[in-house]
Amino acid sequence: MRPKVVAAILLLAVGVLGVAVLISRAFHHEWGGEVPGNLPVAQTETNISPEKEFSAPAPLSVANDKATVAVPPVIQETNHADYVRERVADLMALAMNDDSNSLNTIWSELSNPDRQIREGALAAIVQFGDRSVVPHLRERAAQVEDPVEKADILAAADHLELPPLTELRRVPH
Amino acid sequence: MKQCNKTIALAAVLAFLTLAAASLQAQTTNVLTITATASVQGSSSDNNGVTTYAAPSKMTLDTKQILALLAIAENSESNYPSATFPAGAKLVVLSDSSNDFMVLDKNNNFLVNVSDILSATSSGTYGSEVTSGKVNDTTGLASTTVTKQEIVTVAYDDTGAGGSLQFYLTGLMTSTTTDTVPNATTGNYKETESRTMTAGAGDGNSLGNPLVITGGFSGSGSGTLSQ
Repeated sequence: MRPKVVAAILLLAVGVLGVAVLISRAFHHEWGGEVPGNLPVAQTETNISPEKEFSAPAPLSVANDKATVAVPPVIQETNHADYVRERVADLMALAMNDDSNSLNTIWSELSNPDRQIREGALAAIVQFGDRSVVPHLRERAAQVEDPVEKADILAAADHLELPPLTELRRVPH
Repeated sequence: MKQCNKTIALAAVLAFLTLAAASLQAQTTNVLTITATASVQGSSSDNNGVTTYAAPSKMTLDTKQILALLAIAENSESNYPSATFPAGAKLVVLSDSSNDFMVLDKNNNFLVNVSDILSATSSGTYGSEVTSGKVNDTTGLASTTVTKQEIVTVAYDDTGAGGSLQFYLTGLMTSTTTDTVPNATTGNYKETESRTMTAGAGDGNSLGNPLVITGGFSGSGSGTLSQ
């Protein structure tokens, strides 16, 4: 095979490869990464319906300043559901770390105006497993007015106060 | 030289074909978290014919602990080269019929299949499932959301891998699947799936200590699949 032919095949293959990667990224950007076989990986939170008080993204602006494209409510809800799901997944991924930065990031989302993200943050704090946050959780609960959310925070604090099963000692024989 | 050129060209084409094939999706992968509380048998003493049992010890069992134990067990079985997983490792379960449990690193690279220790099975006495929502009869996909309820048992047992923990959690699992309409040209569609068991219960033992356990798991995933 002539070098020119080889070069042409290589260029074609690389070009198509690039297009394929671009298309793939466009489809898969919400996964936050892939596993072998390109298995999509995502969230750990199940309640993904949008919250009413969430302020949806501003309508998309177009090149002509005089015109704007109004985003239909259904698309806004979908975007918000995706955003919540991705954010909660991010928080749960951080919960699998052991560093203080991850914990601080999770903790900061306890103040998020979106209740579902706050719930995700609370679940992530439990999974992070740092007992030092228990007093802070109790302080937080005292500031929360919603009785359900308050109870959830206190339950998380109670859970974290318990020792992990991995600290159990073997039964003496 | 010609042979070398042919080899290079073939490698490039194969790389492309591999990438193209890999873009076809078969299932979503759900990141899983487990939250449970165990009541562990307290000590006992016999005094003048009266046995006194101490109050049970309440202890937590969460995803990180499970991951730590899985690393030790899989290492013991020579399935994984280290007795610890890297920080950020996550537990996932495939949404296909295999229900395989795996551990991925924080960048979603495969670390080890842990299905020999952790498993989930449909465990209702009558095998009943309660489904609600709409399913497209042609594609078999949700149109656009389907919710299914069934009794499921999640079981963990590392005693065959040098460990000393075994337990199961049985309870009502609610799974919700949402599909978009497949693209007419590509067949691609987006699927979002969630599975939750909030009030499971079971028993087991750890280091020879009997325990009863309550808790559940939560997991979800989404991705673009191909028909």
